[in-house]
Amino acid sequence: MSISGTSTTPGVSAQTVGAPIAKRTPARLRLLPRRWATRRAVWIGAGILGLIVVLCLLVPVISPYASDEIAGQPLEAPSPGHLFGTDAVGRDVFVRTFAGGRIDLLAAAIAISFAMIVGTLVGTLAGSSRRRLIDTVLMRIVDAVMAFPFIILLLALIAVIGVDRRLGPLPAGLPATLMAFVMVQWAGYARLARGQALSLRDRDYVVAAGILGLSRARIIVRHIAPSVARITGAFAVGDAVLVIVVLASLPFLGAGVQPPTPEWGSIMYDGRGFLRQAWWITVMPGVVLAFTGLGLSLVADALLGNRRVEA
Amino acid sequence: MKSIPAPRAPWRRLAAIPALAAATMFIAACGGGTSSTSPNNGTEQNAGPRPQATVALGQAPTSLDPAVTVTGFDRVILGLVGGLLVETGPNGNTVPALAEKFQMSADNRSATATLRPGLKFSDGTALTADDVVATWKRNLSKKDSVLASIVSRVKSVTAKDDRTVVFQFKAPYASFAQVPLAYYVGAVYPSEGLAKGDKFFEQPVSAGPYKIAQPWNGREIVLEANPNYALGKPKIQTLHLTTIEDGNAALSQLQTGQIDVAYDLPPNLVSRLGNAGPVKAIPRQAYGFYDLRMNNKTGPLANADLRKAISLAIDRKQLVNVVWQGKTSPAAGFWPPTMKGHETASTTRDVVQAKQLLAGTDCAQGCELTYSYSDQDFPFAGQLALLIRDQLKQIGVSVKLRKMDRAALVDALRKGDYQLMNGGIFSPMDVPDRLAGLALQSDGGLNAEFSGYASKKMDTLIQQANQNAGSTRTQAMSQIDAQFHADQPYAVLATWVYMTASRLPESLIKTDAGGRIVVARDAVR
Amino acid sequence: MRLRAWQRRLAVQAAQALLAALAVSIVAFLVVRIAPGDPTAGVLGQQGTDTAVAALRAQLHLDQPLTEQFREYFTGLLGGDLGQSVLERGTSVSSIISRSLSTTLPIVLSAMGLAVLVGVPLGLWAALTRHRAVDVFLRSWAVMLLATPTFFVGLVLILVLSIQARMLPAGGWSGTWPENLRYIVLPAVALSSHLTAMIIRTVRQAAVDVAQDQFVEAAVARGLPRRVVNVRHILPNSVLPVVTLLGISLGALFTGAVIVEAVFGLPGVGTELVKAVAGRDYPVIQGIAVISALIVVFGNFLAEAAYVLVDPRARRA
Repeated sequence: MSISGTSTTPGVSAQTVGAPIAKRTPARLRLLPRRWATRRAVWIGAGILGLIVVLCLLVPVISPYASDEIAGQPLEAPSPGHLFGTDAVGRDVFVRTFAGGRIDLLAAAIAISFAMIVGTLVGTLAGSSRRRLIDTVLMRIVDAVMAFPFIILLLALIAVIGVDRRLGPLPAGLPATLMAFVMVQWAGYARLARGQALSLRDRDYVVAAGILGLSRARIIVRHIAPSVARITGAFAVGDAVLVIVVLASLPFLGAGVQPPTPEWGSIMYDGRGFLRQAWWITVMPGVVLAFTGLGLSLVADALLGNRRVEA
Repeated sequence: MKSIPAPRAPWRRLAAIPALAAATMFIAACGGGTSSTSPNNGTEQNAGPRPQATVALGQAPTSLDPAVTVTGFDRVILGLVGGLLVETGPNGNTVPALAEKFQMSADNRSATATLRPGLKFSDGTALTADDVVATWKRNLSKKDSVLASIVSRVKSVTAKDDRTVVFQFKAPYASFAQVPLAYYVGAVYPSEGLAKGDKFFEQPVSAGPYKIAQPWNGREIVLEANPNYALGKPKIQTLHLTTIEDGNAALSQLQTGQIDVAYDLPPNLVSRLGNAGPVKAIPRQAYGFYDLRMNNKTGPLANADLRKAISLAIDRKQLVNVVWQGKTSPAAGFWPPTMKGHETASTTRDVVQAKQLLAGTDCAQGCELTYSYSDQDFPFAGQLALLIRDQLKQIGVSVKLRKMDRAALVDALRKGDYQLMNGGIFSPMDVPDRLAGLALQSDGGLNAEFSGYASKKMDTLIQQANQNAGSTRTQAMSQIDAQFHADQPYAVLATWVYMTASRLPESLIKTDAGGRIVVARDAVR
Repeated sequence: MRLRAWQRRLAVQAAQALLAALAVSIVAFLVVRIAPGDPTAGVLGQQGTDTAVAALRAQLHLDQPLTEQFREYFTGLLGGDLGQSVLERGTSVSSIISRSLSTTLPIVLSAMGLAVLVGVPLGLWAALTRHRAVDVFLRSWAVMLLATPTFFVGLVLILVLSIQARMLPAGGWSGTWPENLRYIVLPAVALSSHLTAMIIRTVRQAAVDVAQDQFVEAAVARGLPRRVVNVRHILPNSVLPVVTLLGISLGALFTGAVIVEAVFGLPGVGTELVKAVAGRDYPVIQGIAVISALIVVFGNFLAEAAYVLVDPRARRA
């Protein structure tokens, strides 16, 4: 799986060079960027995201239809009664979209959190360790994991965990999918974290800390890890949308949540057989998905301290 | 040198982008929603001979060895290349093909076929009675062949002379001329070829209307008209048979003319094709039905009253309208309307009576049943599952859906690890043997369509129908139907239908009720 | 022969790549056997009688202990024999893979080429333009593209360009070049959508970073015109991360190819894999796992090698 793009080259500095050590505080997480323009982007992104989250929470509750209920004639076009129309058996697409949104956002949050934590730990370790062997072994494992065909892993996990298994708030079919994700996604973060850790290792302040006598572990925890975590964290936010998109494509591979649980991907997949006569079934969740992606990406960009080149 | 540009209002532009994108998608999809008004091709109504045509099937081929093959694709090919001794006419009567004369004995225990003179295989070698005998020897003796259940009633096949073949059966076999003789199983292969072993079937030589010009190469298989075919040249010289698994892709390629015929499309796709464009939907009701299988052996469905209640609670009309767009008919009796012996049964939903029947069962206070399915076998399976689930709610049966992939489903079927499952069964000809054998007979090979239904009375009736002809058979079939209603091993939903979509007229190439693709031939000699 | 440090590093990486592919093959062997159902389910389907199933299992050596099966498989693998397909009788796995790769590889490579040709200029433009609106537009467009599933892009392309405009075929494959060029366009475009978006973002970010660096300031201070600075200094440094990105994305592209092949009905590796998984065709699944792992791993290796060749800084041991 791939990660949202940014510079992965070690050594290309994204921070101002030349400022005295005391002024820069790389160990602290800088949440709000300094520039006003990018801060506005954060609010817009957060706003879009917030709106979608609110809709996901509220719509299934206040809608007159359940996400599961046959509410009208099949393949009805969008109307005031059914804002997104009805699907192939007559269920309301509007309430299904936002009920499904809950699942997608929850799944993305869980998958990304796990993948990010595991990946950051492994990558930081690989990048900061002085012993080449640890770095090599860990990175080869990362290579092998990234090379493994996803669909085969998915199939096996579905077989082992079972297509019926629920786990708390997660509907049947999702635990297997999430496990497959986490098992694959962490590798990308590991690689990224390693790159960052490698570049930070030779930074002046890190070297200075070593000279000052701080223990290796302390350096990693207090200086390297937080910076790395900031980068991978920002990625994670942007990566979440990719997780949702891959989730959406899973029904093509024969996986995904168990019907009748709604989920953006399943709704879009089921609707693709009717694209010619009822495009709204596939397009509407897709539009909501795209907006979610936009919101997440704006926030992620701002967290990364995106800037433009000044004229 | 550096100047800070005056901040504009990026949010307005930001909002414009997704709106623009959504609008584009809306317009594109909306525009694509109306049926395409493409110019008339000119050839679409022309039933005259064509140099070539491309047909797309939904499944890839596996093998051309009749003893091995199980997929529909393989059977379509074998039906086009196989040289049959007799064929079945439109009225169900036996029509001579490679054999100029065919006679069943009075007691239906043997049959004699006389071959036409001067028959040749596609490679020019002569076709004699010895080849027929050699082919049947293989059919009967091949170990673990999938043909076993079809040919098991044949005792022996011998050649009386160069052009005469005698078949002997273990018991009276009234339908022999239809199944297996007029089925792909009855195709004749050269004895020299068969002597080469299984490798022969990688590119078999045959005696049918087509020969294999190019075997399956991952994309397509190419058939060419057999110049030595005894019954006249097919009107399409070259047939390209290809696989398109995705129904949407197949329909798109039909509309752009890349393929000429799509053999069997998901019903919801085909419903949009009106009579205007060059692509027409040609639904063909077959000798079979779709059903809701039930596990008679274990679980709450072992109780016949529960099974009957479920059958009554299903709204078949809604299913046919929503899933099949009205292109087939609801059914509740065993024999489909396309077959002799069909009797009209009520398909009206009766929730009141269903609830009454539930009273004595485990489900009297409501229960939960598992419905297993895969959308890799039937593309409409998902829709069907949701509708049935909704319908059964009304009698207090809550359905838990279990979607699996094809192999897992087969595994569950074999282990009997299911309660409700959607399925279907069809027969290649209008004879009761196959349908009853697979779907009702306890030892017919499929465990009564995996239901585990075993009734000695039913088995006897089936034997009666198989071994007799005429009014005895019709009576037996009627009794089978009655017994089916009495025992209700599962619920029949609708008549099996092939949703063929084609740019070519039916008079040129069509799907028949047995699922065969048939190409029109020039006049017979 | 004395190798320089970076050459030694690359050689070691090549060997490790091979090891990784081997590991994948072992895991694939074990993993497919965990799933319910076996090849008999795929071959005989719902019409398999008990005797036929048992006979087929014996024929395929499925009744033998796992270690024995693995030994057979592994010795074959080391000898270069990937086995015979179970579903497609009489066809070897290697011939299935080679004929389907001849469809998938051109599409994946075209998608990568397209993504680079479109993404790099757009990314640079977004980073270096004076008009903030352009930057915002391109970034939003890239994000929207990222958030759109590949199959949706494919379906819309078919609807608009094939059915409405009748400009390009709606899928399918010709099997002969140069006819295939027409059939490649839409699948390659659909497959490239995510990668293009990522390249735009990566290049933009890298260009922004580099433009802030001191050497660029120095060049500008020296009086070099903006265009020269852009081409000579910013461009090469911005393109470097793309190389790494291409290497990482190879795996994702192959997964995306599965979906694109389903939408366009292409007889590629993805279609064969899905078919094999649905029918539990063990030899084909294992074969495709090994080959695709090899491709991905060597793709990464090539990316690193190219990076080393292009960036002199990386050659410092």
